[in-house]
This record gives sequence, structure tokens and C-alpha cells, in this order.
Amino acid sequence: MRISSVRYYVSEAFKNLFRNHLMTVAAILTVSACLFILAVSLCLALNIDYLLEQMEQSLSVVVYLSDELDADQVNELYKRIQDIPYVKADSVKYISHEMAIERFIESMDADPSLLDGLPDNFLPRSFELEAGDLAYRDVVIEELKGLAFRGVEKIGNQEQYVGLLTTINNGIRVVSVIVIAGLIVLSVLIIVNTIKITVNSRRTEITIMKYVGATDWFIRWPFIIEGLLIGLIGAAVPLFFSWLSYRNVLAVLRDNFISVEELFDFKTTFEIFSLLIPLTLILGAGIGIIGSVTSMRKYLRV
Amino acid sequence: MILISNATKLYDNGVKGIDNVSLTIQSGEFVFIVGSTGSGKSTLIRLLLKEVDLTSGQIKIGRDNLSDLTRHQMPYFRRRIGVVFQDFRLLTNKTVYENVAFAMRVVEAPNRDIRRSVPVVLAQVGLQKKAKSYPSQLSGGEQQRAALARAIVNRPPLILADEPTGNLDPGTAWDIMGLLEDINDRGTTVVVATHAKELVDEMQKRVITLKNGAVIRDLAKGGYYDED
Ligand SMILES: Nc1ncnc2c1ncn2[C@@H]1O[C@H](COP(=O)(O)OP(=O)(O)OP(=O)(O)O)[C@@H](O)[C@H]1O
Ligand SMILES: [Mg+2]
Repeated sequence: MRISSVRYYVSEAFKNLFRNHLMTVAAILTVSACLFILAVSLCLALNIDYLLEQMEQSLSVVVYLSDELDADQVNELYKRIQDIPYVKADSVKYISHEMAIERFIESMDADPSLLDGLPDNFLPRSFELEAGDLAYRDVVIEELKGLAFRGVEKIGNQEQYVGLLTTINNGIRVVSVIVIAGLIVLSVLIIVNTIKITVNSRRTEITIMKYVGATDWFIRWPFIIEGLLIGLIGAAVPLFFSWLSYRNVLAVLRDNFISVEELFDFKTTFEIFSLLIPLTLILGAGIGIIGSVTSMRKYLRV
Repeated sequence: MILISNATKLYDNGVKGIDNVSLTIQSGEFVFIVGSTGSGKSTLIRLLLKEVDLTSGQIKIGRDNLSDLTRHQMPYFRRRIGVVFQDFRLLTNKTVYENVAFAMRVVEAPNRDIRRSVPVVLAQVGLQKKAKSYPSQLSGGEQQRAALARAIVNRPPLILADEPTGNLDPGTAWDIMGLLEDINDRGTTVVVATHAKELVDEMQKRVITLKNGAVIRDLAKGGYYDED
């Protein structure tokens, strides 16, 4: 391809964009609207996924200890648990009798005097540990069972929460994939129809090009570049606005709900947009090019 | 140059546009195709352009057998033919200069060649002063000159014209025919489908008369006959 041809394609693309400025604006708005919804859905999906992941990790495996174990044995067990693969060594926490009772009172909001008269060892000692991803929990629990340490009474796994979280997580992934795929298809369709309106008026033009011996690619290139430009501008607009909104929403959440941040962490603007920017630009370019090229395809057959 | 043997074009509605036509046109000839309306003149031109396909028979232009041309070869085939239509078919959003330059861009001619050749061709058709005008700012005759300039700028060996003077007054029609004759004098084969009786009579070129899709007369130097 000659440089002069490339220059010609680009200048034709720009001329067409300006010549059909109403269509151009409509097409850009269509792409923008779809990609904005997409960006928002993705921000939500990524954060929900991230929150669930944090919840998964905070769900601890609890190893209850029999009172027969003396301090040395407890220490020994502590080390062996830390050595289990996938167990985060610094997450292993020892809960003494006293701490267990304190927590119980706190969690029940109960009157401490209720416990008067009950023995100190009314609640068992335990180790709490985090196993990282849900996927590793089973492995870790198997390992714990395999320790066959005399004095390990029971291993608590918070199964009910684990199951629920997994279900929610998978559900959200499926829903976001469907929503996003639907949005992409929808925007391609709208784009095709928007561009078709003007391609119709360019039909004679395409016929004339064919009479003078233009190849299909010669006719197609300006359309591709036009679609690419529409797509890229249509992607840049929602990226800018979603970036602004995301930053502001995060700031508002941080200012007004300090406690939210203590419980959960949100994806930073950088984390979100280092994914969102390339994704949206590629999608925008793809939607623009596919829309532009499909809408003119049938006129090439002359 | 052009070899048509037993060519028949049957349209989908059952009408025979061209009915078993056999013709030979030599390189450098100037040929009029005449005949009353519906006789198949446009069909013949469209067949030569491979805008429509033959139902049976064969057409060869130069070394190309038209039925063998693939979709991929079509643009290169069309570049060896200059076409002129009754309705000019200029690109309305481009100036005269750009319309002519467009035909050269299509064949990926270097900008340098475009800048050199376009003014020469515009001068040849007498349009050098209108280079910057848009088609809507031109008279019919000027538009047809621009279309002619576009048709010849790549120096194709064959020019096909379907009623090139159909929308023009007699004086302007003469000018256009004169230009076509000039082009023919420089060695280009020219085939003109027309109703312009006086022009045909006056110019004394080869005249092929069609009726109901068939050749009923083929005179080496002749005029337009209405009767039959
Ligand atoms: N696309 C088509 N589909 C069906 N029939 C057609 C088509 N084009 C032309 N015909 C028919 O084929 C016959 C020849 O038409 P053609 O256009 O070749 O005539 P013509 O000699 O160019 O006429 P005119 O002088 O009016 O331009 C006519 O009967 C016409 O109705
Ligand atoms: Mg006709």
C-alpha cells in the first residue's frame, strides 16, 4: 500500500465524518452510551468480585483444641499448622479460653454476669487461620485432618458461608459476562443501522468507484478508518466520564463511610482503569470497524 | 480487440436483452450501436463491462474472457475500460479535478503522476478553468467532459459510452462526439450506444443496428436508419 493511498484513505475518512456530521455524532453517542454502561458494569463487577474475594479470605478455618493439650503441645501444633502449604503463616491466630469468652460476650451483646459460675474452660481454645482462595480451603482442611494430632477436637470450616459466597461469585460472573456480551452486540447493531443510513446515500458513490476499477479494499479502507475513529472517540468519552465518576465515588465513600474502608477495600482507580482503558478502546475500535464495514458490505457486490 | 460470439442475455423476467449476437470490433475502431428503445444497446454495453453476466455465448476483450474473470480480477479489468454514461455519474462531493484524480488514485498512481496528468487531460477536454468546480456548478456538457476526462486519464485501450449525449443539447452533443473522435484518433477503441441520429449520419463511422436484441445491420461506414 502506498503512502499516498494511506493519506488519501485517512483524509476521505475525515471528510466523510464531517460531511455526515449528524450520523457521526449519533454513532459516537451510541458507542459512548454502550461503552459507558459497560464501563460502569465492569467497575461494579470487578469490585463485587474483589469484595467477595476479601470475604472469602477473611473466612477462617478454625481448629478447636482439646483441653488435654499442654502449652508445649499447643506450640508444636502452631508450628505444624504454619508449615501447611497455602496457609498464610501470619494469619494463624491462637485464641485462648479467655479470648473465646470475651468474643462470645461481645458477639452476643450479653451480660457478662450470665457467665458467672461457668467454668473458665467453658469455650475451647482454638487456632484460626486463613487459607487464601476458597479453592485451597479443602486442601488445607485435608492437611489439617492429616496431622492426626491428638487433641484436635474438631475443624470448623464455616461451610454455609463458603457455599453461599461461591454461588454468589459464580452468579455475578455469569451475569456480568451476559450483560457485557449483550451490550457489545447491541452497540454493533445500533452502529450498523446508524451508519447504514448514510451508506445508503453513498451507494452511488461506491458504484462509481467500482466503475473506475476500485478494489474492494480501496473502497473499504476509508470506511474502516471512519469506524475506527468513531469507535475510539466513542470509547474515550465514556472512559473520561467513568474515570471521573469512579474517583469521586471512591472519595465520597472514603469521606462519609470510614468504616466501609475498614471492612473492605475497593479496587483503586488505577487498578480498574489499567484494565478498562485498553479494553474499552479495543472494544470501541472493534465495534466501530465492524459496524462500519458490515453496513457497507452489500454495496460492494456490484 | 472485442470478440462477441453467440452472446445471449436472458433477464430474470424472461426478456432477452441480447439475442445470439456475434460481433468483432477491432482495435482502434469507432463504433456506434444504434436501435430503437429496448433494442438491447445498454444490455450490450453492460455485458462488455461485465456489469451483468452472459446467459450463453462468449465475450472476449483483449486477452480477457469475461466469463472467466474472478471477482478479484474485476477491478483490474475495469481499469482497462473507460466508461461514460448518459447521467455522467460524477462524485458530487468532489471537484472536477478530484473526480479525475480519483480514477488515478484507484490505480494507486503516485501523487506526482496525478498532479502531472490531471491538468493535461482537463485541458484535452477543455475544462482546465473548471478544475475547482463541483459537478453541481457545471452545465451538463461540462459534466460530461469531466466524465470523459475521468474515463481517459488512465489511458485505457477501450472507451464504452452509453448515450453520452442523451442529456445534452445538439451543440454540446457535437462537442462531446468530437472529443470521442479525438480520443479515437489517438488510438483508443470507442464504442458508443446512441439515439443521436444526426450525429451518426454525419460522422460516417461503423454503425451496428440492434432490434429486439439481435444485430440487424452492421455497416462499415453508415448512418442511422429508423425504418425496419
Ligand atoms: N435489469 C433488467 N431486468 C429485466 N429486463 C431488463 C433489464 N434491463 C433491461 N431489460 C430489458 O431488456 C431489453 C433491452 O433493454 P436495454 O436497456 O438494453 O435497451 P436499450 O436499447 O438500451 O434501450 P434505450 O434506448 O431505451 O436505452 C428491454 O426489453 C428491457 O426492458
Ligand atoms: Mg439504454
